Amino acid sequence: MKETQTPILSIENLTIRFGGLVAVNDVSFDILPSELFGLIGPNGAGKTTCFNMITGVYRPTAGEIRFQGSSIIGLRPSLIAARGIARTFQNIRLFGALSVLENVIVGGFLRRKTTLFESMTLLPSAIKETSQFASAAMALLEMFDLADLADTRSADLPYGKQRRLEIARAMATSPRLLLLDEPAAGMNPQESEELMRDIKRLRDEFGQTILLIEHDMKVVMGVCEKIVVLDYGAEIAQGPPEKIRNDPKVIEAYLGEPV
Amino acid sequence: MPLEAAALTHQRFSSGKFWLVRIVSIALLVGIACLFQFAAVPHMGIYDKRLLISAMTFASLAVSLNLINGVTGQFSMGHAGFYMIGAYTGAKLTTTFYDRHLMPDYAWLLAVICGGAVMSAFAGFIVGLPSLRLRGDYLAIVTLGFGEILRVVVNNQDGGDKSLFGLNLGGSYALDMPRGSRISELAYIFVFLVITIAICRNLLKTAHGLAFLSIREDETAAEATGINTTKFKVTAFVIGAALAGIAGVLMAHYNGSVTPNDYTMDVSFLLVTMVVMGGTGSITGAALAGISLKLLEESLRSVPDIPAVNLWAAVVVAILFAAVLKRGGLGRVLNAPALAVVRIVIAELTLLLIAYMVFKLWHTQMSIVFKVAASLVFLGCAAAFHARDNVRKALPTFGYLVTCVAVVLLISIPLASAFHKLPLLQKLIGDTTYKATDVRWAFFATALVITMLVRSQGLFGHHEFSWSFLGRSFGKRSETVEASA
Ligand SMILES: Nc1ncnc2c1ncn2[C@@H]1O[C@H](COP(=O)(O)OP(=O)(O)OP(=O)(O)O)[C@@H](O)[C@H]1O
Ligand SMILES: [Mg+2]
Repeated sequence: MKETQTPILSIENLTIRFGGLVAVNDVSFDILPSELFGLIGPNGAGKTTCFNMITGVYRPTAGEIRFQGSSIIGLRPSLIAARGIARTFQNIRLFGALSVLENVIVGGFLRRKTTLFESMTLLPSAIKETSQFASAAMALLEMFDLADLADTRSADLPYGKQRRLEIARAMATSPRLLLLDEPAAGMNPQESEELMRDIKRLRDEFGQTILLIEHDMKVVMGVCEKIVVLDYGAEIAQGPPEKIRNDPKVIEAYLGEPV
Repeated sequence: MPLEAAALTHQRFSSGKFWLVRIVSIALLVGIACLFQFAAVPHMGIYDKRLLISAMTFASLAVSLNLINGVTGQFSMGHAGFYMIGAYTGAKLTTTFYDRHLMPDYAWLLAVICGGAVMSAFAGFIVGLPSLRLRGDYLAIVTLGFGEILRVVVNNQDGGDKSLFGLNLGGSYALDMPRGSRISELAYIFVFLVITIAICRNLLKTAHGLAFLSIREDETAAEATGINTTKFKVTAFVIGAALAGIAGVLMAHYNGSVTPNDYTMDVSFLLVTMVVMGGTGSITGAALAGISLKLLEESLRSVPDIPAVNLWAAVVVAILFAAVLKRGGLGRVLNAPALAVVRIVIAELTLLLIAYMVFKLWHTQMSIVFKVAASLVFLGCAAAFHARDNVRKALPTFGYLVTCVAVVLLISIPLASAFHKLPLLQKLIGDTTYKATDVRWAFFATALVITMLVRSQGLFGHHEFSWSFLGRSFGKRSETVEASA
């Protein structure tokens, strides 16, 4: 049944060169709707670079990225976000001086209908819309256990909560595809486990399609249904966790770590 | 409790008593404007009026620059350029068409304002484009260049019919406008200042404003969140420039002439200083800093009129008291009730001394505007000292700040002349007979340095002044405020 579904994101022979360095080399994979997809690999394998190409930060040297059937290469990041791809960053990028709630409201701003003029004159339509964004944002904050911190400056949050807030902000754009770049990095095992449960919940309850970069193989194996492994920019394995676990190339790339 | 906090947060973005607040505010402002126009202005001298007008013009310029620099985070140093374009467009339109038009004065002014705003907005669009590629210091240099190029070009124009399109802008002399074209009024400039503040405040109350702020905070993240940063950055430039252009038109029609010397780099620098001092991103902070810095700059011209020696002692004592009040190192020595008493005594004593200084000021020859401003500063200090504890900590410690600045101003004059009498320095500098007013920029700069040292985030930081804030500072303690604190 799943095999017949059309992929929401399909990546074909994606390649990017930075001068002499081939950071991503001929990578292809498809993500189906409501799939929890893992992208793993050692340091410098090119995972973040893949995200940057999908979200329009870098333009690939060769290859194709199709989102819901149409190519998104060459679109600016904000347009790609408008099409329905949201992301988080490996090195957290919050709007530090804004409050937790305001951060999430900015996420919803994509769906605005009011014009700048309405906002400058503070017409009732602008207020109404902003308050709608605020309620939607509050609902998301409840979901990520951040509601009681709504008024805190986001830069003042502890590290783990900042990561959660970044996911909440990405979710506020109501994405069709959510890209998470090492969301559990720097968290303690308990926080990390909680987060992974929440991520799984996003998928199970809301059917959210998620592409997840994760360093910790055990974590990825636990939640993802399908995994792509990169090493030095090249794709060395692809498939369900059981297959990846026993793949000799993967074991070698991770220096023989038992996974 | 989390739910309560959530409800409180929610209120900020909902209409609530919105219309009531808006109508009351407008009525209050109109009332103040009328009272001022009919009760105060007739009694004011030309100099007093000019002071007030330039203070308000600079306040609105600072607020409009704040939209670019503070809110959107694009470091622009060319704001004098937009101001200049507005002024010259307005002046040229009026000199060319004034005799021929049949409109009443206010209608003509409105038309010219539109002209100036459009020209400046266009310039803002052009200057905003580099902001797409340049950031921080680089953008600052480009915008600085823009402002200077404009001024230098006009300054070197010979005028006459040989110039491009026969466009005579008066060159380094003034472009004199026809008799009877001084149609701008203090009240207009006041209304414009209020409108400027209102537009920016409105913007920041909505999601649109947050979009501008998000660009300042993190451009990459803003773009990834679906905000077209290009569009918003250029928009900030366009709105900021248009507002500056209107200020230019109004000022030109008050002065009756425009000259390139009014739009030097100094103006841009002063405006950037105002934005930083007010607290980057704070609209009300920029407005307050605009008015007070302009008045401070002007009042320093009359420094010799202040009977400095009489005030010395008072100032020194005041600053010491204020310092003790702020740092509160007494906490280790005294127990809580004693400390509270000491603090109250010190606060009231400090206020008394500031009051004495203001009282002295009223007996000098200085403009009534300075006297009123100083009195307002006193009131500000009094309010800040009596605000609730948690608010007082968040507030700029006005008294401390003001006394610091005052002490520098007062002490440095005799100090400078004393230094100058030192044999070594006399040899170094040679014989000069400078007066206090000659070094007023040095005082001004010193005052800025001190303010920055005392409060580096500017007067207001990222905060805004609002009526509800005032209410929260002095009103009854409510549970929710306590909970969120
Ligand atoms: N803009 C760039 N210019 C030049 N080289 C780059 C650029 N961006 C990434 N690279 C290089 O591409 C390679 C892949 O980097 P990338 O950040 O994608 O790795 P990663 O898989 O995310 O690693 P990590 O687990 O450390 O996050 C690295 O060698 C990096 O130095
Ligand atoms: Mg990475």
